[in-house]
Amino acid sequence: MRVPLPGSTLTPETILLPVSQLRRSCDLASLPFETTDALDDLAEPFGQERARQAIEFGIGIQRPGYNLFVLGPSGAGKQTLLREMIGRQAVTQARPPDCGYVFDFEHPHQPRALRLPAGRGAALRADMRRLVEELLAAIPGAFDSDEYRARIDQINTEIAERNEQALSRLTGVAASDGIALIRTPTGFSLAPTKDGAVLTTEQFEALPPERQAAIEKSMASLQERLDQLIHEALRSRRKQRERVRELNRDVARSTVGVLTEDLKQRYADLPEVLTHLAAVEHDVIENIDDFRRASELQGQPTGGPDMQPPSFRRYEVNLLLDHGQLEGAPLVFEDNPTYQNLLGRIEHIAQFGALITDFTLIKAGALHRANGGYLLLDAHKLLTQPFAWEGLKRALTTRSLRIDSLAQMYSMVSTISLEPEPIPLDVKVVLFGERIWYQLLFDYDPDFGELFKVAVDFDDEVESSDANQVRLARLIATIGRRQALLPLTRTAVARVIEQRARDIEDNERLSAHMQSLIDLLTEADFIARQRNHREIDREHVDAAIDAQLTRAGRISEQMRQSILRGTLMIDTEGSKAGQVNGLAAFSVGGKLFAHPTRITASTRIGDGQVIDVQREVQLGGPIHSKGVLILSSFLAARFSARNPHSLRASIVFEQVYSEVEGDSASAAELCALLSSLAGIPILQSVAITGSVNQYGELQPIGAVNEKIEGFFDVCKARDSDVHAVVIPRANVKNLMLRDDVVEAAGRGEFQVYAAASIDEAIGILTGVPAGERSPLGDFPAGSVNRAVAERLDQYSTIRQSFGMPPPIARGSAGSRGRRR
Amino acid sequence: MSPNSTAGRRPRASRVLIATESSSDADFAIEAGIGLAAATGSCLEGIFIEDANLVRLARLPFVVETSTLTGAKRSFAADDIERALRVEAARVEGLIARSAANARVAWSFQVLQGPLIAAVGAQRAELALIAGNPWRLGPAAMTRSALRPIAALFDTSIAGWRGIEAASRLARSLGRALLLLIPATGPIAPEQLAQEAAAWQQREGVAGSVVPIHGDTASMINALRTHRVALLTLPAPELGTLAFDLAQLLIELSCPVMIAR
Repeated sequence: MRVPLPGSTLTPETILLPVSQLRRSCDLASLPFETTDALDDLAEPFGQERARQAIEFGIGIQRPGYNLFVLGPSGAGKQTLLREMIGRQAVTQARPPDCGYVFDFEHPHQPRALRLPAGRGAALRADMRRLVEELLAAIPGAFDSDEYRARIDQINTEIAERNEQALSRLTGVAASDGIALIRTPTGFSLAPTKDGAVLTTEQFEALPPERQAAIEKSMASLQERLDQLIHEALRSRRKQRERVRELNRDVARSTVGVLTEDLKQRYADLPEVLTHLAAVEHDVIENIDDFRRASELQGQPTGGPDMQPPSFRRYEVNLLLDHGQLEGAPLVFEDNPTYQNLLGRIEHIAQFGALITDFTLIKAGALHRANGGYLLLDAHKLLTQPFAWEGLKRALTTRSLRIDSLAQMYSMVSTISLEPEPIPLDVKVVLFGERIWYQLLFDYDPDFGELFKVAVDFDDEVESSDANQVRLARLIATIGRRQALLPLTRTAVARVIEQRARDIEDNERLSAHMQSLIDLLTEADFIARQRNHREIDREHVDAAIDAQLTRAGRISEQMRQSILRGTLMIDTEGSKAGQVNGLAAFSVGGKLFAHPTRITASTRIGDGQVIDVQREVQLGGPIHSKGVLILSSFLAARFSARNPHSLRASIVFEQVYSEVEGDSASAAELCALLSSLAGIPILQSVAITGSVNQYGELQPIGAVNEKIEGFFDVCKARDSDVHAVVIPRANVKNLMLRDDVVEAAGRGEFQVYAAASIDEAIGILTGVPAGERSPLGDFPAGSVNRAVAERLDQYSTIRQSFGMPPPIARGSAGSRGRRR
Repeated sequence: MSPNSTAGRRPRASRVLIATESSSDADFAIEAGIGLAAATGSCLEGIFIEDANLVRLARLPFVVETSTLTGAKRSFAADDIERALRVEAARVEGLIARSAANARVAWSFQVLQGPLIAAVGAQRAELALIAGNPWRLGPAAMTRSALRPIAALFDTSIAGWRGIEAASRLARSLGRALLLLIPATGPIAPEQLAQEAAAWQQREGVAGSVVPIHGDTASMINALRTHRVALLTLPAPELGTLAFDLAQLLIELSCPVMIAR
């Protein structure tokens, strides 16, 4: 197909792309090695110089708010690079202190935070456990000693003897009056007696009245003395208890003091520990009976809540963080950043139907573990966990770690809980995620910019220079060694490099996406091993790529079959006016494919409207509608400068029943319109893709390789003679076509034209030159534009002859306006 | 009877009696009695004495009681006294039952009326532990103190040896010191008794202190108070033959008295 273009200096040859431009092959001469075994590891990140500098800056600056947000697509290698760089930095930093909670004896519901030099937390915890064990042995022993018993006996005897002597004296006085002091089950009483027996009522009444009066008088006097004596006895009993308590305290003080003295010396350099030890000592002395009872209750069955053996948990150290074995600062990655996993939690245990807790049930969160170092979090996971983002922000803002129970905060339970003392926070948080998260947070959370000042933006691609190709080869070698893959030959590396360009549809650049590279290498390695090869060669890479396409190609194949079987009506031979082969791209499971789609246009007299049928039935996206509006504007501007624009046109994507989005078909739609207006048929062996602006210039589109290959596959299956695709010239740099397409082009069976304007495109599609406007404003005879202009003039004349009002200059479908 | 002739007979008790009123020493007396019964394979007899004086006292219209717990005065009725005695008797019986079951000792229990000493006199047990009704206003149950010794009047009669052996056994099982009281007056000179006691200690391998006392009740009380005795053992084939005023001892000593027959 060689179309002459009369009236124009342009010939099809000038826009026909040579085979060399259809794919940029990797120059093997730029790869100076036989296999990747000969290459050194790549120490620096591939193509991420900007990200590397940002990370260095972010982890270097020690100021509040300089936390990092690493943004880039999933699988870009963000975590790997971060872990490597931060890991190198972390080992050079000082170990953070150990951290734990101890009981606060003054405020039992507010456990005290204790920070100790790294490694000494575990020692203190062990020391405190040992102290309690020793107290449990030493205290009962001290109170079981002969010395203690003697002193208790002395106190008791002294008081008892004093009371007994008083009672004895009173008894003697009473007896001299014939009155006995009698012990009752609950006290003392006075009664008249005779011969050692208490008088009965009758005996008493038989006594002479004067004797009765004397007895009563005597009893009254004795009763008064008895009352005084008993009150004095009660007072002495209180004194006795006080003296016993004081004795107990003395014994406890000396016993506990001996045991804690050693600890006080060991932790003399830690005032916080000394304060705690003093509080422990005081509490043990005040609760000395618990230690005395403990040995008695040991092994006895426990009853209800009031019959529990005494607990000594309050003397324990709840060591949240033990950095004894840590080298440098911690680097923590929390894969499940729930609120509690992040900020810590207070657990409860069920006891007699109630939920109870204490400071030993405080558990550390990721922020605790990372305190003094680095915390890596996946932004998506963080933001999808309730309250986690708010909790993290609060911690970073206040620079302290406060453990709040969510249930408590939202009054979901009424159980008494704890308010642990907040722990100072010094952590560098590194969030990583897709760019959308960064953008959303930046736009909608005013705190975000203050807290995450360092954006680490991972590049998706790098320039495909020789140096970068060698770097990529070294990266491939590095990955191969780390993943225990077979070495790649030079040709295999070249194929991988070409695929890296194809992945981003740019023959001047290379993809920097790590995961897709690792996947390709892994799959090629698998195939090579299956074929008993010791090296991965180009054929294995090709096979891996083909296998990827085949796995994702079910729908693509179904649609191609529909076209070949005539279900989807696509002509690839002959020519038709107002009908063009557009190219539509689809994405399934991350894989792109494309196939031709028939676009038709019909034109008639009207009021200047171009109706986009897809839009009318709400199957057209906004960008697609924009393209249609632009092309109608182009038509009006080019052809109706002097006459009313009396065109009414309809554009349809035939057999498309889903939404059409994007403007990559606007050039095809415009060509169909021009063909319809000019009455000049379009070659159906040619497809076109590209968007068009108001000046008729073709603009680049995406998925150009898939679109070309989609049309090629259909034509090849139909064994068509010669077929071609017109693409925007700006897309030439994106061409990385399949080998078979390039080979067909080499044989002259397939052509790719790179058009800069709609005039060039319509010339290829119709075989008729578009025609340039002369200085007088006319188009050359026989050109497409001339035919279009004449047809529009005709419409205008006819419209005027019918006395129709001039159309409103809106130049668009305007259907939405009509609906309104 | 010479000590030599009785030393080898090892008089054993076949019945151990525990007699108590409402007394804070009752628990210690029960512990000691159960221990002795278990060690000698004897039966245990428990009796609780309801003092008739108390019931009579409660019926006098003008009598009031001063509580040792609160110091408050209140009038009280015979019903109150009877109820209180029943409660205490039940407590004592329960304690005996549990302790005897643990020690696998056969036991019986009864509640009797009348003065304590008279009730004990009517029983025929070889060993009778009497927990009287002392005037106690100070700390209770001081007899439980492990520092307090077990005292026994050293007498070479059959009852005397029985008492000494029981006291020695108790001292050993309770981890107490043994105090052998040598009376200054009696048919045998105190020096000879002291020698007998030393010989017995050596023969039996028993550690104990020898304390000379005068033969009257007041001297006995003073000596026992000085040594803070937890239990006193006295030999008395019949209570009427006892050289000391048992009632006064029970009241003023604040410890149980064990009578060996």
